[in-house]
Order: sequence, then structure tokens, then C-alpha cells
Amino acid sequence: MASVLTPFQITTTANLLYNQGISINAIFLTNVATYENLPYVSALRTAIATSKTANLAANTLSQLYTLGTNACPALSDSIPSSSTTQPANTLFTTLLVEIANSYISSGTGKDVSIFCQGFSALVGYNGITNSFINSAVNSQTYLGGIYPGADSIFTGGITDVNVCTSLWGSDLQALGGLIDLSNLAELGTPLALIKQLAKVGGITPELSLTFANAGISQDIVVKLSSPKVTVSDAEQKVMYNAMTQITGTVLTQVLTLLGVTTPNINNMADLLNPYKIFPNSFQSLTVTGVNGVTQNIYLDSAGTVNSTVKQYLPKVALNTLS
Amino acid sequence: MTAIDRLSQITPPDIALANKALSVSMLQISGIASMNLPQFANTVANVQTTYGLPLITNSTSAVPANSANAIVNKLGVGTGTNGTITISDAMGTIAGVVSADALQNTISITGTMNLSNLANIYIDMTATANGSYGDITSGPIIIPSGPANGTYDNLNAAFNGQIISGNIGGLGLIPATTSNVIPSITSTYPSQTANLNSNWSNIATQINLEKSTQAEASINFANLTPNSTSSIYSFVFSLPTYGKDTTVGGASQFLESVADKTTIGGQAIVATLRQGQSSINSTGIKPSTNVPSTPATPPAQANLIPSQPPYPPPTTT
Repeated sequence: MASVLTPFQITTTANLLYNQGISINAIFLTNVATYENLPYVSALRTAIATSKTANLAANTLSQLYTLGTNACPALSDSIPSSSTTQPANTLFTTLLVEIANSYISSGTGKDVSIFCQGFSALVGYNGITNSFINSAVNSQTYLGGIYPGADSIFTGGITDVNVCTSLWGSDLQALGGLIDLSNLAELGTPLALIKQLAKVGGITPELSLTFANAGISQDIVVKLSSPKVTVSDAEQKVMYNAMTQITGTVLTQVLTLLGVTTPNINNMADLLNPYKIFPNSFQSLTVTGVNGVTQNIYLDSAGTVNSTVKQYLPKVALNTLS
Repeated sequence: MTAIDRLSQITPPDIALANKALSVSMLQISGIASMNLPQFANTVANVQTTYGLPLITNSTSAVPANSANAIVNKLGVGTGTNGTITISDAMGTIAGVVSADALQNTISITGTMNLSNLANIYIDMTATANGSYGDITSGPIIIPSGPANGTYDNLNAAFNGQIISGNIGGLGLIPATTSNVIPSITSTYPSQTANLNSNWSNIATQINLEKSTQAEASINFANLTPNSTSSIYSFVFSLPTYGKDTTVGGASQFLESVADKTTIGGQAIVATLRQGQSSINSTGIKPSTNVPSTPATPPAQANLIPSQPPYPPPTTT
């Protein structure tokens, strides 16, 4: 077993095992003794002790412990009335020392193991309790005053996109590797689709030929497999139009390479259409606008796009920064 | 980012808008860019929602204010930040928390007051009880001066008072104290009285807090196990960790207050706390702080039952 004790810990243990090393705070005890030796306090304590010996009636004797309780308990070493601990026939400083002693004593006298148990248990209790207190306080501010909703927090924002998570998940599973989640800013562009195809499966000669026949320049066609390929918007439009004509074997190759099993993908351009790629969940796709309002992206089962979402998209999504 | 103004030139405008809205929406999912689509799809398919829990789903804050307040009001009764509970709140009396200063203040304040009448009537109580003023059983007891002066039939009459009839009777020691001597002092010294009451009230608040905290934690010191050696081991092992809590009222401050620093044991406690606080363990310097806990001479090994068959194994037929 690896060594785990330091010399100081060994010395501490040696002392605690013999009830040494921990005691009631010395300053506290000194102050108690000084107070109890003040002439009026000392006189009171002597009076009480003498009255006990003289067998003063019990109810009369008990009054000597509470002489100043209501006016000024410090003038009679009385327990303040606000104390919830009110043992009979006990002066306040006596009570305080008894309480302190109870933390390091058992029935047999001083016992620091009592202190060790109580201290450890209370430190543990405080730690747990304080985590609840601090969390409760922090819960009122931790999102900076912006609360996106319980589901959003619970799902990390997934339900902000689609509350029907099971159906959307099934649609996503059917898409294989169609979408590059690290390139979502380019979602919907033909180039993003080609790059993802090149990344997960490769560009087939047939596909390259189709693009070439559609009018894409040879320079670009030969670079389609490169992740750094750049294509102008005009050429992307040509690519999109070409994709609308890609069906049959070439489409099957593309779907196979991407792992897409979604039904009713009739041409490659369908892979750029959320209505087509999320056939079972498109109606519950949503976006939260800059106004904080969540809107459906599609209005109906026919796939009509909700044009009002446009006015609440962030500016960076609306217009190209020049 | 390819914005809508460009995307709608590449693909049909409605598809462009749907894609851009979807893109904006999906980009809000934390950590999505680090996942691939199959991973994300499985996550989405299996994620749990708050559907069917309308009070949760429709809540307008992460934690309703009344829920947070309920916790803070119930639990946040300590003296730490946000009302957190410190170990001094839970058992501070042994460390002199509040009481040491309050008693010192009491001594100082009463030093500015003339309390001779108070001391005198307490002395009269002693003189009455020890028979100096007359036989405590058969009487009469004659208190010669002060607010309780008078002639009483017996001890209890002298303390409680006796209706004056002729030359017999008097206010009594206890009534004289509570209705005469102490009120006279508090009216003469209103500021000191207020200060004394404040200090003693603070002590009462401290012991009330200790009692309630221990009750909440279900800790009753009277019911703990006496002479528990294992609890001492546990405490000692945890000391360096306790040392890291250097907050006001926290473990370090508390343990420093109860460590008996006149002994090597008490000083070793403080030293162990400091080991926990020391930053040296996070540096490249390796202090020689650990004592080996295995014997220098390895213990003899026992002959255990063989766990391997003999070789060659017995022939089977």
C-alpha cells in the first residue's frame, strides 16, 4: 500500500488518540472566567451556591438564575429569553461552557473522537446543503436573464429545432452522412453537398461527367474531390440545376456513398431540400428568431415554407457581408 | 456563411430560406459541430423531452423564483455567502465564535458602570442564606440596609418578600433586585444596557443556530459513539482537505481556534491544515512529506492452497 500519512498527521493522531490537541478555545475560556470573576457575577454565583446549601425553596432558587433575563441578562449571567435552549437552574456562561464541552466529551469525560465525528458529519452536511443554497441563488441569474425554455435546456437546444425528437431522429438516421455538422453555415449549397460526398464516399466519374456535361468548367470538375475547392455562385446554380437531372444509377451511387436511405429522393437536388430529406418531421422544424419567437419553418403538409421566418433571422444569415 | 441573398440565387428561394432557417436553428445546438451526423441522429432519436409535463415545459424561468426562495429561506440561515452554513455556524461555541468577543465586550462595558448596588444585593443574598442576618429557619432575618432592608420571618420570606406589618416585613431580595436595583442600573446606563443586550443576544443567536443546524443535520453529540478510533483516523486523513477551506467561519479558521497550540498535537493539526493549503504540491518541487506505511522488512508470505495443477497432471482414462 502506498504511503499516505505525513509526519504531521502521525503526530496529530498520536495526540488525538489520547484526547489531546483539541480543546475549547482558550480565549473563550479566559473571557468566561474573567466575566465570572467580576464582583457582581462572583457575588451572584456565591449567593446561588449558598442558597442551595440553605435549601431555599426550589421555585425561589430558580428565580436567582433569571433575575435579569427580561431587562439585562448580562447583569445576572442569565440566559437571554431569545435563546431556544433554556435549561433550568443554569447560568448563561455555564451553559456556554457546557455546550462547548459537549462537542468534545462523552459520558466518560473528554473524548475528541466525539468532536471528530460531529465535525466530519457537519462539514459533510454543510457541503451538501450549501450546494443547494448556492444553486438556488445562481438559478435566478445563470442564463444571464435569458431563459430558452425547459426543453431547450433539457435537450441542449435540440427541441428548438424540432420538438418531435423521435421522428426527426429517425429522419436524421436515414440520412447517413449527408450533412457535415461542422459546416452547417453552408447547409443547402450544392458545394457543401459535393464536399460532404467527397469526404465520406468520393466523387464518382459518372457524377463528374454529369457536371461537366452540364457546363461546369473542367478546372472545377477535376477539383471536386478537394476540400478546398471554390465555386462561384453562378457555377453552383449550374451544379444545382445539374443535380435536378441526376437520377437513376448515378443517384443510387450518390445515395449509397452517403448512406442515405430516405424514401422518395427522386434526384440529387432533393438532398438539398429539407422538405424531402425530413419527410416525417419537416412540419415540426422550427427556428427561433432574433425577436425570441419560435416559428415553424414549414406551414403545412405540402411543404410550403413560412416566409415570415425570414424577417427574424439574424442579419448575417440574410445578407452577405461585403 | 452563404447568406440567403446568395443562396436564393443558387437554389429556389423557398428551399434556400428553409435551409438557412434550419441552419440558424441547428447552429444553436451546443456542441453539434463536434459530432458526425449518425452520432447526432442517434442523440436526437433518443433524447428525452419534457412533453406531458406542462408546468415544466411552460415555465418561464429555469427555476421558479418561489422555488429558489423556498430553498434559500429554509436552508440559507447561515452566516456564509448567500446564507450558506459554515462549520462555525454549526459548532462555533467551542471555538469561541461570537461568545469570546461578546464576553470581552461585556467585561469592557460593565467596567464603565457602577454596579456596586448590584453586587451588594447579591452579597445580601449570600448573607441571608448563610445565616449572617439571622436564623434561616426560625428567623427573624434582619436585612439591615439596601432596597431589601427589613425584618423577615424566614429565609424564603427574605428572598420573596413579606407584607409589612408593624416592624415586620420588607420588599424581599428578589423583588428588590428585579424591580429596583436592575431597573435603576438600566435607566442610568441605557447605552451600555443596549450594548450588553446586543452582545448577549448575539451569543443566543449563535447557540440557536448551532442547535438548529445540528438538528437539521441529524447530529446529536450526546448520541455519538464514544472512543471511536476510526473517526479519529478519518478526521486526520481529511485534515489537509479541511485546510483548503480558508473562508471566514470555515474549517481552517475553526480548527485553528480549537487546536490546542500549547501542545505539539495542536500545533501538528495546524501544520497539517497548512499542508493542505500549501501550493508546493502543484509545483515541480516534491516535498518529502509522506512517511512509508509499509514495514521496512516485507512480512513473511503465507503458504496458500495451490492454484495450479501438478505437472504432469494425473493421467485420465
